[in-house]
Amino acid sequence: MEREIISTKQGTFMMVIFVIGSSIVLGSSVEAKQDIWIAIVVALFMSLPMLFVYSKLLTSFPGKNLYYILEEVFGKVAGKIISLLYVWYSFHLGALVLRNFSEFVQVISLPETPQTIIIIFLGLVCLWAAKAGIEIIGRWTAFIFPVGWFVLLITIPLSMSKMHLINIKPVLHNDLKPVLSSAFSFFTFPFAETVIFTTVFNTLRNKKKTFKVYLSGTVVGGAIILLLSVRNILVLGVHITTDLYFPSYMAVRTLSIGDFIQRTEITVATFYTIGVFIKASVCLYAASKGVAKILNIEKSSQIVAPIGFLMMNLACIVYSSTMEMFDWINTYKYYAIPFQIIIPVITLIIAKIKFYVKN
Amino acid sequence: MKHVRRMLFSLILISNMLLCGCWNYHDIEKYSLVLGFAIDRNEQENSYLLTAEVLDFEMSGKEAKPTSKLIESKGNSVFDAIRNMLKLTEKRLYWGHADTVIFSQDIAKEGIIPVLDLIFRDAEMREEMHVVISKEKTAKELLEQQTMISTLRSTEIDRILNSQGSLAKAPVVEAYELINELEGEGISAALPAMGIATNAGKKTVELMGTALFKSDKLIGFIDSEETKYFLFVINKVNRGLLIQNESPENQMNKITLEIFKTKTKTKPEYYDGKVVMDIDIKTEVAIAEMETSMDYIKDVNRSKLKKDAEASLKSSVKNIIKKIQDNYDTDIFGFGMLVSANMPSLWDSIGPDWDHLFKKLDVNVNVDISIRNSALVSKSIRKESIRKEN
Repeated sequence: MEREIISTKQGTFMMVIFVIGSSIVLGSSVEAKQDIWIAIVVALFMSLPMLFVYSKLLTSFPGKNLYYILEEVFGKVAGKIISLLYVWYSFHLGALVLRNFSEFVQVISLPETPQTIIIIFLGLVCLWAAKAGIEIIGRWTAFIFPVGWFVLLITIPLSMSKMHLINIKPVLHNDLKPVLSSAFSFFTFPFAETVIFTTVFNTLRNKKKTFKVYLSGTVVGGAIILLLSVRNILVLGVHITTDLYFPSYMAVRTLSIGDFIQRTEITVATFYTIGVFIKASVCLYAASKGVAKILNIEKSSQIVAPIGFLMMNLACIVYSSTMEMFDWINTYKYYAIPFQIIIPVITLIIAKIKFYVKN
Repeated sequence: MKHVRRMLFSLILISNMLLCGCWNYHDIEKYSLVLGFAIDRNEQENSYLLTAEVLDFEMSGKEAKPTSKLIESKGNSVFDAIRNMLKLTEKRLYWGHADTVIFSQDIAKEGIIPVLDLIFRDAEMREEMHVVISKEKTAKELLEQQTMISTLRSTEIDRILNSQGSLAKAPVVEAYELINELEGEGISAALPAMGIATNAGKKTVELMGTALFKSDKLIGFIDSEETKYFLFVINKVNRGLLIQNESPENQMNKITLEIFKTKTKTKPEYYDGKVVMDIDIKTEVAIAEMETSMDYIKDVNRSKLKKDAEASLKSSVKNIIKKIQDNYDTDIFGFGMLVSANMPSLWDSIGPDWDHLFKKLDVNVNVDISIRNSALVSKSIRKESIRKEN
């Protein structure tokens, strides 16, 4: 096994970008309407115990990743089968992320270009990054993040003059049910998707800080999503925000200060590209780690390329239209439950029981 | 040898990518920029007539001067009309820089949602486009008129709307705000209306107040002066003038106050089964022009002026609300929206009945004007003899 080490800072930044990654552009849940900010806060609190579970798993087996832990806990055969599920999950998620990006590009600017081309070009970069290893991805993230979040958040004060506070009222007048349902959507996408980092964060230099990395990454990412969602509602109003496929893009599009700061929506698209790149690379990395572990291959970087190409293929065929993609986002929250909640919790419980039996 | 082969292979791969051509390859020379467009409806043929103003250049001496050309095209839908323009021009039109769209009265009376959809849906057209209603028979007439200072008709219309910050005689509405108003409850849309006026013997385009909508249909117009008070209610006044008669008897001599800062707070109140809107207007003004020999700078007279100005602003605001309630019965002030935002449970019960309630809604208007300064001069211009009298 090759040894890779990432620092706490790199880990946190990677997590933040992973969390904001595709949520920044996709208007993921519209049920909560103007109470979307409550939904996001609730989702953050909902995800706290899960983050604890993920990091506890990692710290119980220091230096080992999820696939190793699964084999340790469930035995060789069962462990491999469950590992395969996680390989599928990260492989599929990576493909979905790539497809989201290509749909976005096609809808907003290149209607005639086949999505395959967009997927191939971004996919190749992801493949390269995943092949270079998590260390390289981490260092790249630490380099790009400080620029990225500034560009992303500067649009909020700039659009202040177009905000109307009335758009967010009345607070919590509609039932609590849509808010909770929205909160659950936000929980599964993107907060609990960080389960994928259980296959990555065994490389953290300071193992004791695993939970801290998990917590700060998700909270900072969540806070940015919160700010951007509230910005969208305040600027565009509830009706338009819920009508649009890509509300953030549109909210920034309306921004214009004097005649010189305008058409800044490209900043959103740029940050989205960065986010998708990181997210897809981490997913690809996680998937190839898993396959390597299942097939007992020494170097996981050897199989990154075939898996990456398969991922691009899946991305090309996974949806037939943009509408289908947005339908899937609603189904995704149920699909993700076993991967994000059930298996990690069971694994942790069994691991703890085994640990006590042994002593 | 291996090295060479690898080089060759990567060369083929790279040239494959570079030479295969692009799908969305946009050459700027092959595009013409659309500055603004007007949409008319042809009743007999049941089709749309689209008139686009396209940027063009004219060589005068060594410099290229921007001018514009009009392109007209018919189509069964708005998009069809846009594409049909290719029958007339060699260049494809680029709509991302269009900043004004003018709707004809016919379209506005039938409903503007069908034509708005494309502006909202299309990726190239921008949602912050200004929407204008033509007061003339057709919308394209406005684009045909001469410009005043700019050489581009649509750009000038756009600039006129942008400069309403210091005039406050037209609501400036961007397409996405309009859509929000059309989709929202308890608010109706109001758009700037423009028509043809004669200026120094030549016809040109002028702002002519506000077009009122009920749901998405045009139901009437109010003039520029009334528009100003309407803007006061919805807190959209930035700068502007308040003109005050010296006294009810003396309509000749006027005092002009320039607004520097104004803020309107509207709050719905619910007293024994009735909704009342409390409108608080706080305005800071300066004396900008005095056509009178009376010294309004002096303390006593100044407070009289303040009281008079407050009273007349109050009655003007009340009048416009009354007029809208009586004649048009459309909630362009967004009172219903305020109720639904601040008293959601009350709105649930009265919301469906709002049209009926709006007509009889009571309004309290409080005006507070503070006079900040009197520009450069501390007195009015007058004879010494009158000065002693005062």
